[in-house]
Amino acid sequence: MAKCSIHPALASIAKVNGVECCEKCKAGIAAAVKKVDKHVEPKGCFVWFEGKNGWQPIPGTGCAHWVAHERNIKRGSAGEQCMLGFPLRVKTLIGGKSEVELADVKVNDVYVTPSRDHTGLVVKVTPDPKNPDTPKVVIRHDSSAQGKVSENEFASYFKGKGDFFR
Amino acid sequence: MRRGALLLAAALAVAACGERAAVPEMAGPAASAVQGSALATWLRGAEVQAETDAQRRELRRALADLATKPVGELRALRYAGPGGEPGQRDLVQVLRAHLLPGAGVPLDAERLLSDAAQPDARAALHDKMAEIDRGLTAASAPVR
Repeated sequence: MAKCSIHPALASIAKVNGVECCEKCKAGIAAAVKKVDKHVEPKGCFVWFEGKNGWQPIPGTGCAHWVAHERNIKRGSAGEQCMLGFPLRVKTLIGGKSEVELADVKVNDVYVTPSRDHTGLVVKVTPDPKNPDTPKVVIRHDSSAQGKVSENEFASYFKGKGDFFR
Repeated sequence: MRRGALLLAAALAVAACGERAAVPEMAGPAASAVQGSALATWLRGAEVQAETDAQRRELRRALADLATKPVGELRALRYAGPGGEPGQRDLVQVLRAHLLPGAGVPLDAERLLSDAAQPDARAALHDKMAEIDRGLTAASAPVR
């Protein structure tokens, strides 16, 4: 019989996100998922076990987590991943990727703020014939400030600042 | 080598409390196995995650308060929500919302507040504030 991954003395009653769980952990995960901030997507795997605190929402904004799910990027060590193995850190998300100039940006490139503390995904690029080096770029991102996954223009919402990676 | 040491520390800490992690690095209460204050451990290696300058400034204000104000006062402080709504969050909520700690290090709210006066915690707080200041500078720099 399978054992709980957290409490090995207890039998597992179910697998949640691939993790064997006892009754207490299954309930703990469900309760933690309900506490995940409203803007975070997906929510079901954005929890981890914090010892005596039990299962808790993962700290941080979840921006890199959302991009990782969208692009199916699995990187980093277990301590910096959601329950399904997707990275949580911006720096881990862009690790190994190459920076691309604004003029060369394409849909699905990863956008990162100058301070590497927020990220999103390029979903639309509209060339500007008068300014070929500065196309109009739309970024979809898990926005804690707007409370949802939102689409915003690079030039206005992000003030034309930040970098792109592929 | 370092990853191995982290795994060992997490495994020892979890074994000590009769629980083990689904994923060792993710779940272990590593703070108890690491030298120094819990707050310094939590801050070291934590990635700042913030979308707007307003969020960055609010996080910096929370860290500055933690470095300078007594515990009793800290519990009563309120901070803007992620969208800028005033008085929406307490200090611990701000830290959890914008700092992603390393290797699943748990946040013990009470210990975190009481550790703020420790020298290593003060140093870690100032390092994190300096990092946020650099982020604010980068955000306000002219477009290339």
